[in-house]
Amino acid sequence: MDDEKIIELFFARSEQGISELAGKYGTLCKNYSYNIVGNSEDAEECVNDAYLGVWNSIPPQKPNPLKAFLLKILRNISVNKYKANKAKKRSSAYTASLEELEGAVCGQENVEAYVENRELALAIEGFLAKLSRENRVIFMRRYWFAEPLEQISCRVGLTENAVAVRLARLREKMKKYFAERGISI
Amino acid sequence: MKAEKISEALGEIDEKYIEEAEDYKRSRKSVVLAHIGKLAACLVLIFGIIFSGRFAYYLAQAPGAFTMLDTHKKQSLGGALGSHKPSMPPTYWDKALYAKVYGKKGVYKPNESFELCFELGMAKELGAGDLVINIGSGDFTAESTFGEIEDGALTIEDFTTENYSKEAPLCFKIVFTPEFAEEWARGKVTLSFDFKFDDVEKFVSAADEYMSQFPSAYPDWKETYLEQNVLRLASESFDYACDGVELWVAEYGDVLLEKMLINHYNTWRINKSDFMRVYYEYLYRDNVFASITSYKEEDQTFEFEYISKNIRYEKKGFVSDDKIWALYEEIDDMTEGFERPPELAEKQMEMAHLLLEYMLETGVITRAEYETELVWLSEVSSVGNMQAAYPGKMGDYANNFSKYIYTHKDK
Repeated sequence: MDDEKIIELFFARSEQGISELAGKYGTLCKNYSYNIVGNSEDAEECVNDAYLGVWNSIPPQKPNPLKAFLLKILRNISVNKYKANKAKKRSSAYTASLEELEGAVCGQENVEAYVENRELALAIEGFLAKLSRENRVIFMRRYWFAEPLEQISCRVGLTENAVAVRLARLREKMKKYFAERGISI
Repeated sequence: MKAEKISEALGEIDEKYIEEAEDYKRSRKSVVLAHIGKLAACLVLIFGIIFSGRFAYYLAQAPGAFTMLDTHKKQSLGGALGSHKPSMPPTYWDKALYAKVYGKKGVYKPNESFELCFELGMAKELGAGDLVINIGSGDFTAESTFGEIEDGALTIEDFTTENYSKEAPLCFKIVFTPEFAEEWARGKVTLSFDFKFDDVEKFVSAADEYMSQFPSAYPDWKETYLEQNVLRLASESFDYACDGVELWVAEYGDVLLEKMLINHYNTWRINKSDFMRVYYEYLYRDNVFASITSYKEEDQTFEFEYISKNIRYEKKGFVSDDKIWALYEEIDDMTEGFERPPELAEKQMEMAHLLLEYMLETGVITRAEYETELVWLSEVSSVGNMQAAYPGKMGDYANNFSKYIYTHKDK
């Protein structure tokens, strides 16, 4: 079923919409959430919460594309779950991607946030826009999807090592990009 | 935690980036021909790659410019290569240039030669018959990773450039000095590539020194050298042309500017006076790359691009066939973007046929040669494959063609 019809079902408040959504994106969502939370049970829980999030958002929203909308909701839920898990010292691929990012930003530790999330998101978008498509995908797969290097390398057809090197350069570039714009985190 | 903040911000970015990353499927590797956007490039790909390496060869032959290493001896240090035992020294070895690899002496060979690419496994025949070569692009960041050593050759797998990135193998033939071999064998060496254009400086200073011995013969050796050598090489060395200068920056390091200039000159993008002017302006600075970079920063539209647009049309008279030029424009359009349309190879085949006809009509080749080439073309699915299948015979053909270009260049 195409996304438009799924959205129509949501608008009609038909629970079949959720089934269709799960049928179409369930595996993708579960894999994605797993990358962040690091275990199947939590991933499944996050995915179900994400479906609920979509159910609550549509209507009034009519997202296009639906997949990205769903993934975005799922990411937020999964990240929150991750944080809760982190308190219990459970790690995941997301931990690794976060650790990588840690060195990619300049600024002072343990100080108040200098920039708001949205502002930072805009800066990141600006940075992403400057990248090649492939680099952007690599960056996103790693830091948005928290995907392991191995999977990224399969997706983009590079070796794992090449992806790692490229990510290192991207982090360096991002650091420079932020520094040039006086963005301190 | 800073990273968490970034990660949170990432959660708010535009969905288009998410969609892009989610839907991304890697496109096929660029077919070598797909890189070619200019007529000259088409010509070169059809006939000219055979010449590649010649420039390097001449440079290597320049007085005192480069020290050629005893590769036979060095290659016998097979232990340094672990399980990869080097085969017999490859035929192209004498054309290799001298470079520094992580402060150690090494040799690299520009990868423009099809034969070389093929030999090093950078170009290969796919099942379907397309020739694939990965070509580097963009500003040079050479601290790349690399793949396995095969027969003593390292293939760097990845180049990242300022504006985009792609796979860009650059083959390095590492010459293992005993010390280096030892370090390598112990796994203590992390290779990284250090191009500081030492060789350009070395080349210039060596040439300077050489010429200074004959002050009366070479009152102004640079002009003389340029006139007698560089321009000669320009006429004789063909290379595939690229849309921008970046490729040259990326791939050739020490000879980049010369190659770039020569390429632009050969492909009618710049005229002789521009060639000379830019050559002087940049080549003899201390750091060629820095000069180019700074120039580019000052003016985003690199001068060559401007020049090329203006010169290209003025010079196209050397081929007067309208059909060829129409096709050239079509191919040119197809190669504007990063993605190459699938019909490009077909158009390039068409171009190959048109050129063959044109060369026949203008007496560059005989009917017999023409028919032979036609047979070859009919047996392959792409122009690149023709070279793969008939590399030896294509060499003579390319020679004829280069003479043709040269003869008509200044008319």
